[in-house]
Amino acid sequence: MAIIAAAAGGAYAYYNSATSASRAPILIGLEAPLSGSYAPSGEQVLQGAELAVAQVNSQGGVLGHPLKIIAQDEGPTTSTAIQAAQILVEQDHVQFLIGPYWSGDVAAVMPYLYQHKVLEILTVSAVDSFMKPPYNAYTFRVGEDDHQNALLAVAFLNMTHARTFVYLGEDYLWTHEVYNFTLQMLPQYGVSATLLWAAYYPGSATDYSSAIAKIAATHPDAVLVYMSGENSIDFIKQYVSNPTTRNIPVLLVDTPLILPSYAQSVQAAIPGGINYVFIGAPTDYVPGVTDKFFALTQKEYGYSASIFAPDAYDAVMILAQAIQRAGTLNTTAVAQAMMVTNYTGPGGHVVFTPQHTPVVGYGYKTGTIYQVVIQNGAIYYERVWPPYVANFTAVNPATGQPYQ
Amino acid sequence: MHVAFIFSLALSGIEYGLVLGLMAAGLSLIYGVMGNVNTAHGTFYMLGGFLLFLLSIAGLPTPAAIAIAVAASFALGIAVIFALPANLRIAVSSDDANLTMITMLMLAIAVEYLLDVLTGGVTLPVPSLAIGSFTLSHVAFTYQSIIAAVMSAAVYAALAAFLRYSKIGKAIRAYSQNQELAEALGVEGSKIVALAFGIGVALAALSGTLLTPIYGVNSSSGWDMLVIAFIIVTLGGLGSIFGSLIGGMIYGIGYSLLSYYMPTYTYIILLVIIYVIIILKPTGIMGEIVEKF
Repeated sequence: MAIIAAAAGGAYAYYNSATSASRAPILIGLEAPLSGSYAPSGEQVLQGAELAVAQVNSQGGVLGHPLKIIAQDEGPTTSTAIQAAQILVEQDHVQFLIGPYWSGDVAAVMPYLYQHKVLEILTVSAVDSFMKPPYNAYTFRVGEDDHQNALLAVAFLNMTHARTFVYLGEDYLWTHEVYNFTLQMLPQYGVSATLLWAAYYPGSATDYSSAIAKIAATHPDAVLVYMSGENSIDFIKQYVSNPTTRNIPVLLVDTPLILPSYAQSVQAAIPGGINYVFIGAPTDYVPGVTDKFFALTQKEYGYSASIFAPDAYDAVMILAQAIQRAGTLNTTAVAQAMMVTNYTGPGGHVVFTPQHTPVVGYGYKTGTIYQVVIQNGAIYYERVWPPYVANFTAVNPATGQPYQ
Repeated sequence: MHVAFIFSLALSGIEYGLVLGLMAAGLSLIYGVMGNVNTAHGTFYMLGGFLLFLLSIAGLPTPAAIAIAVAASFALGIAVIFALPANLRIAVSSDDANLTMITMLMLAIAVEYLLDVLTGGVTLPVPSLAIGSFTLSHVAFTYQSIIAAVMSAAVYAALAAFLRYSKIGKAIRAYSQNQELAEALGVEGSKIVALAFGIGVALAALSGTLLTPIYGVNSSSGWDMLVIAFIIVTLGGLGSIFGSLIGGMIYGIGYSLLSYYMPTYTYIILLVIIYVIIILKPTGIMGEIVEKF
């Protein structure tokens, strides 16, 4: 009896150890701002990734292993971003990383991740100049792309029949890049709008009255604004307070105004002010897919619009599929498997270029332009571009009539 | 037209600078009495806006909410001071002064993180006193910003009168000029410090209630304003309330014009100009022209 009991105990212990090893999670690090004023955006990145992880795990995981996200706060400085990466790689031993969020942090962290052969997927940082050998060997971008941001500008100028425009941006690398791409792409798409002037503002600026006065004085047909976070909120409040400029169509790209809480704060300050403001969101709208995703975010997290969660979700799904194809966790093999990605998710259709960036254009990643419409105090985000997902005809804010 | 446009820009800068200068005046008042820079000053700016938001959603009319927010900040300022150990409240040595600055900085960071937790870091909708605007040579002036500037000017005048003519104001001035002599004459140092601190942070909170309807408020709103307040105080003269007024207007005009012509380099040029002024006049523009306050 004792021998049987011991044998049974041993067999049970062996069974436990075997199944525990096969269930060891595949760790995916995630770096995003999880504190400070950009925490809401960073948390959406995390939430999108976690929804994907839950989805993958509910279907049995990848290669028999569940996925697990380990998040680190990117913090307010490049040094905290580097530190976060070091913790994830050296303490948590992650081989895959989503993020960082900020382009400056991406530049700082890329050499370190390359050295450790950590496969990195960017979902927010859009700077193209980083995506060059050798450091982009293990870096992929599934989200916002500066060519895509420029395409939004071109589409907006075309839609509003603008003959002249001005360009305003925060003084960061990505906005300069978008500016250059926009000027290159205008003739490619047959749009003949002329730039009147461009200006860049410090990231810490809060007062834009001089800029808005200049817009009012020069009276372009359209205004392009590439500002993220609070800056775009400060800008638009002041923009719509000026009786002249509020009638000039303005496109805000990468703005948190897409979130109802921010829109409501502006609406509270200036009732009706943001009516007919255009928003360029870097994520695509895929009928049936994006709606289903946002129904899930509404249920889990209480919001049904986000420019960060869909791409983070897609990043995890694309990674999971690549690992499955590679059949191994070896990051070199997974990186090769990533190159044959042909995936459609809530953020759009992703196919990678040789530079590991998403292909931009109709049928691929385009972004989406929304127009804010306020009716009876309620705020609606109407899709006006691309044409094949539009549910609303864009309205000229000066006349209140649709553009022909 | 161009001259009119530049004039309008300058006017807009004065409007902006008046409110910023009010916040700086509070910082200057605290420095004059404590001999120490209040590194949590920006936090009270932010708290002003935050309290206004809370009181507005509780249903209070905006003017009443502003008054209560400012009064609450005053009370909170006094409470903060009395919570400090005596040697930090009235710093005797430079070590104590440094420790006070560090303590206040830690307080500011703690409040920011607390509000992050409470609000999720989002920008909060702060109600305006008035909605609407008009333009002057293409420059928009909102009714909110005009009211803010007028109120700031009125509060300046009231503060100046208080410091010059009231018994408590004279005590504050006496204490700031010579602590030992003032105490020998019966001025209670701890109470004066607490009162001056309370008034100083109340001014920051008032600035917050006036500006956050225009620029929004979130948990980190106070930091940029703190830096601007430091700049204005240094420019105008540490310890000089009138200097803060002048410094605020110079900053506002400079910012408005530079951000029109050279937006990318606005802060750099502005700081270089201020640096040159400080080199030429280390005590600031009004540092030695008038006695403190």
